[in-house]
Amino acid sequence: MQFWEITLKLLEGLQTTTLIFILTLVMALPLGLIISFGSMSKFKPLAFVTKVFVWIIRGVPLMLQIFVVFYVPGFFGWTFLDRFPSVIVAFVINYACYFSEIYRGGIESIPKGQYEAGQVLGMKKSEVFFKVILMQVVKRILPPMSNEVITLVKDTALARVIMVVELLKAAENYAAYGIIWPMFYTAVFYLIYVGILTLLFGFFEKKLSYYKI
Amino acid sequence: MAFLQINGLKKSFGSVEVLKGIDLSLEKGQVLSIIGPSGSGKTTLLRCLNNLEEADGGEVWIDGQRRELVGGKTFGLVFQSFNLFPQYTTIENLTLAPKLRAKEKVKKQKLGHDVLKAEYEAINKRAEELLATVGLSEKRDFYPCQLSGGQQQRVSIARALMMHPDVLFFDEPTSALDPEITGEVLKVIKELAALDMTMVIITHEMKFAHDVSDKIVFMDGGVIAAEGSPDEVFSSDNERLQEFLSAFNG
Repeated sequence: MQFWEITLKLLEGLQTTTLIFILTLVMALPLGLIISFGSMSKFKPLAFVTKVFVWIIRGVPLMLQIFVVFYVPGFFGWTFLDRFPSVIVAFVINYACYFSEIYRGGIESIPKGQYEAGQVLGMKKSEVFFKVILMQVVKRILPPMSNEVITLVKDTALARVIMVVELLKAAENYAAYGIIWPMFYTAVFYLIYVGILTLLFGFFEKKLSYYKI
Repeated sequence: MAFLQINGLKKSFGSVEVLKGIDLSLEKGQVLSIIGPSGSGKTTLLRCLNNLEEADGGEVWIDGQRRELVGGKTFGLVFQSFNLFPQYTTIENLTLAPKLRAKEKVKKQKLGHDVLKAEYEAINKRAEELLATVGLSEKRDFYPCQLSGGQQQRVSIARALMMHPDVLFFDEPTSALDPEITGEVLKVIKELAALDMTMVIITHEMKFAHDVSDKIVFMDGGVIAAEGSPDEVFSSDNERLQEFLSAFNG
């Protein structure tokens, strides 16, 4: 019976894990695109500031960033963000910066001729981007994106550093009672999670394989 | 004034003056070929005329109107590297831009959905016709990666024609093709010339330039070093031109 009880408890933790995962993706994917436009901006000061920001976020452990979001506002007497929102804020900013670099690489890899072809056909800049460039970028960035998204699944475990009970923390809680095996049991959950994502990305890549860039 | 009139077109990249004041004129329905060595400014000239580069000075007139001020009068450009949109089929490559313009027009003038549908049908019909013109009707639903280089270039010619250009420009349209395939593209261009399409062609195919052109311009070092009818240019005693041409006769 204990096995099923613990499995249910871990599934509760998995809910939190999934919530962090989905909220991060939903917000970081578009935010990353905006940041990538910033770092590619022809307005040099904006490009510089954006690049420094990305350097800081990518250069500091995500765990530390979670601490910063959760604790630092308190130093200034501001109200704390709750634990869970703190995790989301830290994750969204962190992942948006990684995504922005993937987007930038993808966008810059599209040949200039594609823009020019659109332009001489009388298309507007926004039309060229959304109708011609974007789909090619999506195809290019799918493999690095799948990497990042899989990493995100496992990074959710960092939420436990400020006592957000996600999958791993749910298992760890049993260790206090001398029950250690649930911690290792979580690997099964992560592996299934990542397995499904791998299949999903494989499906998308196949869907886009009808053309070559 | 000629149909296409270019006066004193200038362009520098940094301290390098690539175009040192180009004057050109072309009548409606005529074909002009531009020949000359690499780095002579041929491609830059075409890019300036198609607003891909901003010229530093000079004027471009088309049918009596300044190029910047021209509304309906358009130029078309066929690239050396085709630049087809890889994620679209042949027919979609042709119809994408015109459909966007049609949609915009219908929206702006607040016309009904049936008007848009009729516009789209007309665009599709024109695309089918142009595909037939370049001999690729059976490839309408193929993606660019499924076509040979010559076929891709013919699609890109049809795509440029979709916009009803007053002048169609070609930037070395066969330089990326192997010699065997070159012929099929040149044939299409010749057919367009027979249909009185006004065209400006940068090319290294000397025999083709001689046969298809009403006028040939030899560019060297950012200036027009020689110009005239094909026979005049090919028999010119301009030393630099003779040196250039002799390279092609091996």
